Amino acid sequence: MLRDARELEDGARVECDLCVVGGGAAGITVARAFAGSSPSARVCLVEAGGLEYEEATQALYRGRNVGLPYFALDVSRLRYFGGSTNHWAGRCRPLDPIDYRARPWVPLSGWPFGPEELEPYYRQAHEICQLGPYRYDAAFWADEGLPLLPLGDGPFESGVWHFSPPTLFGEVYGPELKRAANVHVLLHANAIEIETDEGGAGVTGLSLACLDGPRLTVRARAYVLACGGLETPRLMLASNRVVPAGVGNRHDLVGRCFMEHPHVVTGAVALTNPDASLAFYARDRVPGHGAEFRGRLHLAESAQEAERVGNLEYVFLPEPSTEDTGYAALRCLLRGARTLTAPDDLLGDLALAVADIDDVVAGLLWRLGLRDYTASSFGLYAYAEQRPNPDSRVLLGTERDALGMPRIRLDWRLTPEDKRTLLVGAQLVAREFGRTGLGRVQIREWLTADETSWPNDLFGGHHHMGTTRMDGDPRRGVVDAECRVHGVDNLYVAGSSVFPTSGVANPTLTIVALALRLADHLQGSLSS
Amino acid sequence: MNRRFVLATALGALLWPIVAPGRALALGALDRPPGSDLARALVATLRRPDSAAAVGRAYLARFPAEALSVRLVEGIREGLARDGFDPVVPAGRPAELRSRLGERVRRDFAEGRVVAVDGWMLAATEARLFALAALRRGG
Repeated sequence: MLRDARELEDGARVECDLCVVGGGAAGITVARAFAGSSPSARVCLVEAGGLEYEEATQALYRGRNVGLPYFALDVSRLRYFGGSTNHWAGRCRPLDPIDYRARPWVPLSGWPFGPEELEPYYRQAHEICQLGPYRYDAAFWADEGLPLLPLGDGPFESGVWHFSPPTLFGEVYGPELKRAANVHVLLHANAIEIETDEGGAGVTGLSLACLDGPRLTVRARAYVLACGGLETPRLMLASNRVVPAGVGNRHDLVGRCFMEHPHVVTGAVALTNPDASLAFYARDRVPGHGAEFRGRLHLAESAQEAERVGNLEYVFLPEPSTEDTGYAALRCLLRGARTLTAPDDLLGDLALAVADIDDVVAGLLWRLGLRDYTASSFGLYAYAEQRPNPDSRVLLGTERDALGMPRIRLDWRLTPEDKRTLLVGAQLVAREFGRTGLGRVQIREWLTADETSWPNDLFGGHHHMGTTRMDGDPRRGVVDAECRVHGVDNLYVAGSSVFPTSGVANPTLTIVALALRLADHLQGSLSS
Repeated sequence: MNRRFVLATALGALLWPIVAPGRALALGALDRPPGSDLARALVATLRRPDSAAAVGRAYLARFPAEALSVRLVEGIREGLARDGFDPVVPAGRPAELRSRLGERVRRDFAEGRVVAVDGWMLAATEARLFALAALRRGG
């Protein structure tokens, strides 16, 4: 059942067995699990937005970035039914085995369980995200036109991402939830406070508010916060009437260890072997086996351990975006002609354009979509793991939103070790390409300039992880291995905020897998 | 130093083993004592010596102490000697010299004997070879 909370009476109380806060991938997955297998449990799924994007609701997501440059916080996520699945790119893969390990060279690393624990849930998540065959071995996806690099037993291995269509969870699974008699989806209901008992050891209710509408309360036996890596810690920190530091925050961990996946160009590759091809790692959304995939070059676990660096992988960008090809020179000239401004080096560009006529033709044909641009130079584009860093965090600011809730400040920080991972990775690519005769690699200057500076073209992936991290020890984690908040009997967290480490995999598949696992646990505990 | 130079130079470097036989060396040089003859023979293995010289100049700008032909030649010889090959001893085998240089370049990368020239990671052997080309062109 779908219901608009604005139609309820002011002061209304909703009673249920399980209250799920947040209608994104995690929240919808938990609710669906109960719709399908626990029809006697009453589930209330609380969603702040409606079924479509609304400016006023989205504005509640505004906040401030006070650390590294980052996306605007009301751009990086969406506040309506389906959550950020309404704008995700669909890229999926499971975590790597090394991501679960406690690695001596990565402080605060280690999950409370191994990959075998999530494996059955990943397979279910695969179907939920509408992915192809559950095959992540690169050889299955490669073919004559997309060969794998002959890397042998070196530090790199080939892998793939799968692509979801992408699955918009609200659109795809909303009708099912609407039909489920035991699931009530409450729209336009913003969670503004987690109410607890006197000791803060149990949640007694959830306060909801509608913009220009009624205020409500939900009472449940158990609660799941599934608001995302920024909003979940915000709600916990803001619920500070009983525990001044916020719900579940006795050890000052809520909001800390915010992790992203740094995305950045770390170098250039000049492919000099005419028989070699980087197409497998350069082409995006390649059709195959009834699905779509993208190849990637992954730093093997043995190399991560030998070099004591984080997880890391690459794609190669074949666009003719460099300054020193004839096609790029021609584009520069044309741009100058259109805008009536002279390029910076008119004579140099003219010389290149004239001398490199083959490249100009190839580039134009690519631009017109008539031919693949068979580039011989590429950008070396890295996706990296960010180490858990307690100083990288979500905090409450002093500004308040329209509901009176404090807005957040995001202080995203990377460490010298994060930078070292990128530098060592690029050096290993250079050595491996040279060793195997593939070509030469140029490493970008910012990697060697110092330990702490980052370039302007460093981005994240809109992946908000780690802010209610999972660990069996309450001094190291906000939730335990079952995603229950330490010290709060009936409060759980679903989503990427529970990730103790980020790995390098896009988080959505793992979010869904963890949500399925949590639902299993809750079904057992609620039935008992 | 742009990618075009690197492409041209590295292509030349890596295609040594399959460079057309027509690129003959006026040798007998290999059975003469080392020095300028060996330097000439080494540079003659390059497909695009002008491009190589451009890279070599960038290398020498970073490592000015290497701007001596005898030092560069000796550095290259040491590398080849690690592979059990003396470029001076065999006579009239330019193809073998090219092949051995190519192998040494790959081993340089495997062994971590690399240098950065304008950010480009080059094998020590090839960087010295390019520097040799630069010196012989008056760079």
